[in-house]
Amino acid sequence: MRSSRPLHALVIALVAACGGGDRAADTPELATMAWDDVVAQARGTTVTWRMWRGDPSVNAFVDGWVAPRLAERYGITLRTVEGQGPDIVNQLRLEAQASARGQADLVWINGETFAALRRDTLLAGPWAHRLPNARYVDSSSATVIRDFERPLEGYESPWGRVQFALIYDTLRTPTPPRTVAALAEWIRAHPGRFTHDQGFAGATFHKIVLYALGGGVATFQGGFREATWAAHADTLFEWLAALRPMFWRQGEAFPPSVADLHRLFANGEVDFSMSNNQHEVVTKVRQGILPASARALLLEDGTIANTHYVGIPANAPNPLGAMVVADFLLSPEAQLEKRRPEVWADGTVLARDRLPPDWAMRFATLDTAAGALPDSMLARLARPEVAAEYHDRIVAEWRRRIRAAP
Amino acid sequence: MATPHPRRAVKQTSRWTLLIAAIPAVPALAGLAWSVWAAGGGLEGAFAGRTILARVAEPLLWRSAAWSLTIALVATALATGLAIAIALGYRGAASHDRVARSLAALPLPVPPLVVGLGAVLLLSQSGVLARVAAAFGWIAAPVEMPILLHDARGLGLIAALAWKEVGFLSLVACSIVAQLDPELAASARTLGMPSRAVTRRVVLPLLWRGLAPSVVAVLVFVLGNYELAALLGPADPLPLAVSIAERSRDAAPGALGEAHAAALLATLLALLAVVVHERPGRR
Repeated sequence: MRSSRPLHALVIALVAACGGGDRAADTPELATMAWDDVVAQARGTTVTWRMWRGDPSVNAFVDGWVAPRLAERYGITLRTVEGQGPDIVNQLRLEAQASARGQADLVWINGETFAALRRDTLLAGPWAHRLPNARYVDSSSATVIRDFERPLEGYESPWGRVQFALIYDTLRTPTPPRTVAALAEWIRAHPGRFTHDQGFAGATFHKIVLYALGGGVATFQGGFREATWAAHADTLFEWLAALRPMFWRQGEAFPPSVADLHRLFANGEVDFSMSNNQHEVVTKVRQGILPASARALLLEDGTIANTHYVGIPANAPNPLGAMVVADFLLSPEAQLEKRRPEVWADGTVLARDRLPPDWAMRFATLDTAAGALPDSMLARLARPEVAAEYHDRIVAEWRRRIRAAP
Repeated sequence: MATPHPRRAVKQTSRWTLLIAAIPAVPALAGLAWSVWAAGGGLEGAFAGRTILARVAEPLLWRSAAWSLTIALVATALATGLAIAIALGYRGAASHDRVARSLAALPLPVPPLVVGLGAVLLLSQSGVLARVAAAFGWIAAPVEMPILLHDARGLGLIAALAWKEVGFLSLVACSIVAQLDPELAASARTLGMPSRAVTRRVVLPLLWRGLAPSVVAVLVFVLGNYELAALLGPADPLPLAVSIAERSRDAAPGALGEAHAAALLATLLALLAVVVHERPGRR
């Protein structure tokens, strides 16, 4: 151990140098400062938002709609940089070890990322509960006020809500399977026509199957339990192993990402795609990426709904500016804009009955494109995420037991 | 004015040269030190040499490494063979030779990502080749197209890597052939050596000697290439570069350390290729 100290010191020194060689600025009292003072101090500053930049629709909304309004109304320059999930966790861990000033003011996070950041005390807060627009948040929804079962405690602010859906083509598959059991039968009857991606959507699909085969989401709620995992993991992986030979390419290959799965679906190589956003099919049809007859499908066993959030790193150089951005993202105006099918079709985290009547009316009369799933159905079949450890285990075990299996 | 002693001037020059040579080496060495530290558990606050060994010894990692090395060797061999054939076949000054040499270099400026996306459009079972083959009745439906992408044999990946690298290698090979002393071949012919034997025994060895460093560079590049491997490679075995990226994006504790261990293995393989090329006694 002793011999590693010089190396350790060198690496830490390098990170500190990369971070400006400065210690983290003292976090102001985010929970108590008057909101007008927050806005006043944020004026004229730059907010760096580390976010997923993988979808042109999202990028266009943030760069083309959010950023100009922040500049105009609050004098804030929004700078977006690529980074998601573990990238954010690893970067912040390293910066914390080096006591370096952060590179980002705001981070787009949820689930296992939030759990890891909270575990390592890498987030500033609490602050989210005191955003003026937080009063409109749908606090009756378990999927909004808990992130993978973890209470938010003011350390992240919700800004979008989605629900997993399969995507099918009404012309190719006029009577699609509507339960996990029926899906298994369909896969057996149509070899080579189904697969899932290796990313987040694929893991969510596995979790839905886990819920369905394990007696429902209630079995897995209440935190991660090793015994529960041990009792049900085999059922999931045996289900997958039994069906794998009937998957696309006999299950010897899996599309790397959900975008690759969309391509296989659009080109007719498979009959189903999937998405973590139930509205994505509408957007992709509008963009011409998916056929006009593509529709979203919710399995009757229930599909996972989850919320995405923004958090402020504990070493953020500009936490006040980040709070103003988070509040703007939560405003009815921004929530409505990104909910539009032609923009991004991201679900709102606001409760319609808490909004001022004119805004509630605008949400109610929002143009719902053909094929969009009704809100009542989404609510009926929504199942919350469970502890992040289940997600991590599914990903690791799938790689070992299915992907790497002969 | 006093003139510096010639030996001192040479010493000063070599010192400056060493400094310039260190510029690219320093970031590489710093990165290597970082990876050693992280692979040994430094990120988790418990560095130990045996942690590196345990992480590098992981069987799935070696499967990835062996597969990627095989693919890199085959793709590099293919590209080298093609480049040599082009350099020898079109070495004249005639216009069609010049056109052929220019066409061979065309893949050079195409970014690897574009090559990968193009290969997907062309080679997938719903791709252009499959559709054309089905339209001409060579196969009953596009889905009957032989599997070329995401397959454990790595056929599509090898083809894409070889196509991408043939541009660079043919450019180098043609340039070497153009600089060869024509007197050597002429003398060999004067001594009665047949034309084919001149190419095989005189031109080819000289060409290979000049081309070998570029071949090693291509091998190392291909071995570490991420874009094409991610777009065209199989899920099992996972290409080494994809395996490194996947581990580095994993939120599980220790996954980043495993990614650095895998990166160390990749670096070791690349260094091995360089060492084999630079081995003592090599002419």
